[in-house]
Amino acid sequence: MTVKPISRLGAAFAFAVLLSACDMGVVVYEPGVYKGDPDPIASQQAAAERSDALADRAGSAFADR
Amino acid sequence: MARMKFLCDVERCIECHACVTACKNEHEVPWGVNRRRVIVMDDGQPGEKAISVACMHCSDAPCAAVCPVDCFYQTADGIVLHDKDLCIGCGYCFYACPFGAPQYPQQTAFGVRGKMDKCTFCAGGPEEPHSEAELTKYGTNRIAEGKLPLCAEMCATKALLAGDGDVIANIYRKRVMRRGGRPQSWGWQAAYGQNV
Repeated sequence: MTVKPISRLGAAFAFAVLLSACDMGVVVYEPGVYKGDPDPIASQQAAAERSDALADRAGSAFADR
Repeated sequence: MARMKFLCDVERCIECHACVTACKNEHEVPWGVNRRRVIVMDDGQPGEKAISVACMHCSDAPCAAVCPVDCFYQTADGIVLHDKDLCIGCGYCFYACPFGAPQYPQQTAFGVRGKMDKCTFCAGGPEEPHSEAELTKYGTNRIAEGKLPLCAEMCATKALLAGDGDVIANIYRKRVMRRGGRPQSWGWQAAYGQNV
């Protein structure tokens, strides 16, 4: 079986792409971890959900006994 | 919507540095970096005052305004956080901050100071809450657990208040009314543009 030059070129290109991932400047994130901009709606919902709990905690934590 | 703020009652602070120790221990802050410090004014003089200072999570944060890589962001409850993956350690935020909050692991020149570190209001960072990455880069995320910053929660004299601005302002206002004197909400004018 003969290997065409175009296949060798393709293999070399793929190898170069894979090799570029070995650069120290590449940040590898754990799979499943969202790295985009924070979702403002989700952030507001979370803040609203915990605001009452935090207010209660502040009332009990900083009250003079 | 709650707006998270810090308030130090200078009449109560006894300069015990427990808030500093608690913060360093909770977040495993590296050697040489203090996210919170206690400043003493008129040390040894009559009327000496001590104030516990950290990032005040300003409404219009100057650190965010000068950051060349835009690594700062504000959560819905007003906590100013930053992304250490984007930080280039330029130090502009350190010069802009009126409270000296941004800290660097190394006291060296541009680019080799390391990533900036500052108080997160115990709210972690842009990583997944309670993940290993968040813990190592930013420390624990107590806010997501419904808890307030540890420095304030364990303050023995309850001098350091943290939480919703309206709630802690009411607590402080009642104290001032009970004991007399005038309110001294140190840093609030610079950070939030208002007084108690």
